[in-house]
Amino acid sequence: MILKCQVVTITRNRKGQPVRAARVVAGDPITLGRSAEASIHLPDPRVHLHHALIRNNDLGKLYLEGQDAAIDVNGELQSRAKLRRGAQILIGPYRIIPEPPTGPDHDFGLAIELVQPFPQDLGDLRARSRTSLSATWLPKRSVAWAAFAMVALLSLALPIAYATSPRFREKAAGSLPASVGRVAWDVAWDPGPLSAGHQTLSLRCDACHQAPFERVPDRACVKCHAATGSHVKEAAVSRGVFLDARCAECHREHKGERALARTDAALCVDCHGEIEARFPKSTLAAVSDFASAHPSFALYMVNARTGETERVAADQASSRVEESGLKFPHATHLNPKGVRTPRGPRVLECAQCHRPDLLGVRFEPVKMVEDCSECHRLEFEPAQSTRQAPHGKPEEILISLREFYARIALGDRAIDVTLVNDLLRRPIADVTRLEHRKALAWAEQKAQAVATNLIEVRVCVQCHQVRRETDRVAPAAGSEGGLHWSIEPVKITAHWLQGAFFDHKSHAQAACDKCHDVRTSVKSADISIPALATCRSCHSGAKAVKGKVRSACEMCHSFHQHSNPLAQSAAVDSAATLPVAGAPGSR
Amino acid sequence: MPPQIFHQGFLEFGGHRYLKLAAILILGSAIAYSRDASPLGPYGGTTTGYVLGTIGAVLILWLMWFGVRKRRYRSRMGTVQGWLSAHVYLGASLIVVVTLHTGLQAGWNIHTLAYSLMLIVIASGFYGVYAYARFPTLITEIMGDETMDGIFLALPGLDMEARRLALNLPDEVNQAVLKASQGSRVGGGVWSQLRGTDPKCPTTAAVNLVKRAGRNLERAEARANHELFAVLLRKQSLLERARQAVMYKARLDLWLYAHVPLSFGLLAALVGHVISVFFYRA
Repeated sequence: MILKCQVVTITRNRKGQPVRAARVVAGDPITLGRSAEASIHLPDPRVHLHHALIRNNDLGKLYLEGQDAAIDVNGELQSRAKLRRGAQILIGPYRIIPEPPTGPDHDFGLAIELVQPFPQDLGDLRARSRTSLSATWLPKRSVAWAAFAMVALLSLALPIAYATSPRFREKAAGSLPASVGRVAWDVAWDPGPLSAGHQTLSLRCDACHQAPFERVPDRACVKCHAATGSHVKEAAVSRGVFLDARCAECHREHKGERALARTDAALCVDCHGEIEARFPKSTLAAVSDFASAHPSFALYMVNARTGETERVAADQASSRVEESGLKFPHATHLNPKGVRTPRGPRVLECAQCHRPDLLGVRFEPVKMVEDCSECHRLEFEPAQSTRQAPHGKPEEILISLREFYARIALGDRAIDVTLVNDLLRRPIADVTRLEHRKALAWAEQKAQAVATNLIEVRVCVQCHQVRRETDRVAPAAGSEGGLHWSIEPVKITAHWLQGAFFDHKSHAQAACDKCHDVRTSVKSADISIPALATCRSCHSGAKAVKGKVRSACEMCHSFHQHSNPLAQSAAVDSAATLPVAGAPGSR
Repeated sequence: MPPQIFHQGFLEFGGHRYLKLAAILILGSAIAYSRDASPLGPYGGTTTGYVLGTIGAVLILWLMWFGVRKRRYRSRMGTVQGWLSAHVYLGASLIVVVTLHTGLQAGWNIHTLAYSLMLIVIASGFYGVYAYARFPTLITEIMGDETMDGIFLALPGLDMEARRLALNLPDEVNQAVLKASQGSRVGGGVWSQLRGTDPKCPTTAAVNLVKRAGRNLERAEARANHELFAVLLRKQSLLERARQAVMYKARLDLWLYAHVPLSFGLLAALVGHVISVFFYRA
């Protein structure tokens, strides 16, 4: 049976009021779908090609059947449903409401309205498509501020808080992660490792940086380095020359374990290059480079008259001789064929007398008892006795001899004495007062004769300058005779180059005579401190020269020379020399 | 004869005015550095070091000001092109100026952090110069006379046409066309934009499907299907061009997402560096 259906298409006018357009379609069944062949053509892509159909069942009731898809009837998806009046049927975007027939030309009616029009393509497309990165989640501004804030916190806010408030530091140590604290306090601002000696201060910035935005004050340095002295001895000159120069101008920190002090040539040459122009009163010679412009060495010598160590400027040094008061020919002692010794002939080496001091920088003073007496014996009766006179003052020698001979004269002979004189041929008996006096007189006479021989002829005079004193009026207590001698004090210069630092130990690979030409020296007056040229044969100046040691000023000179430990040890040396000069016996 | 007007890139601006300025700056810094005989060796704290550091810091602040200047459309302080030219050349000169300021000293601290950030910012800027030289040309090549808006306006028409043609075609095809019109997109997320293609593009899927479906159709349907295929192909080609253009645009813009935030990090590190140096003066 052919079904006839009135299809009422509802559209809306501008005011939204429904406008109905009706037509009748016929078919068995009546098909609904997108297909052009469908009885009721629903031209929308959301509708299936053959979506549904309407037909009679055996009882003549109208049924709606889903064909390619289920149908939404009153909100329920059904594959088959009775076509009831007033039911709401959704097919794709269309709402279909069955209606009673309004005329005889059809069996039923369907009101069809497109309730979900196809969306605006362009708007949707734009909404789906994001064509620039600024439309994505990718942030620029927020990340920029976050980066700023994070870096500022770690590299600025926290370090300042740590640096200015120890209380904050303590609190932060408890509440902040240790790594944050380490970065903010220990790492962030630290421009580099401290020098080795200062590394104990590495977490105590305020030990040197005493106030924010202030330079490191000298008092921070002096707190520990109180002993460091000035460059110039006179405070007034020092102030005038160096004004308010701070320690930190030459001594820089955070430059690694080694680098600390400024040692460039300009530090010295700026002033010393034209010292006479800058300081007319200075006795120093101009110097600008060791290789090309360095004066000959000034010598620090003991003045024979005063006993004081004095600086002898280079131009005078060449005409000076050492007046040590000692006779010592190096040539004799260093005879390559050897010298006579009690143990037979021996070739002497420098080291047999010159022993390095503890630091190896210079040498221990040569001492008579230790270094000379093996050969230079002070025996006064060598034929009869091995007894030696003391190495001391003439008075002490005389006393010693007097006692020796008196003992013999009085009959109590010394163990190793075999000499027999007139008096002693007699059997030992009580001596009379007269005999006693005669014996002592003999002893005194003998002692004086032997002493004179010992001091003036045979022994002392070999090394010392001896003078017999005749103008002495009062003899020393206990001495009966009028014999007196004076021995020139020994004034040996121990540290010749006090203006510089020379370390024998670091030159130990060179033989002594490479620098000290003493093999032909027959007088103790000869000065064997090497000349500038000798040093220059190995040392260049501030500029590197192939085959030579580059030697800037600081290699030999110290800026803080008045507290230089080597200068101090020099002071000790010269202090030790002075009493020696007055007392030859102690050597 | 009227003077011919050529397009002048920012690199050639003003007869390479800023290239010359940067060269002078670099040369001057190099000479100052080599002549500096600071007794404690070269570092940021010598006189030369301070001068180089000050130049570097002022330059960095000025370079960052470019971000403000380029947004001030009414400013008459030079042209933005001139500013960009100077930004690029003087920014590049920082590599030499600031490296000499460091005296080649480095460590694990904010000083070196600031230096490293600066180098990264400059490197990203170099990429930006490369991007500006290359990608706009590529975009022009791809787009031809077309504009992105033109493509966007053309696409819905093609969609509508495709939907119309698909109405009488099998559900499978219609469904694919519907998806293609409702799901195809240009660009999208960061990765989609940078990738420049959409492997899950429903239009491509529809093209393939329509091609296959054509074999089983007859007559009117086959004709409609063939027309649909042509429409979809046009749509696919437009989409691909648009996506490529978006890709190059994204690559053109991407470096700024590193350049800008890193330069703000650099600004903080620079402030920290300067303050720390004077907070703890030697």
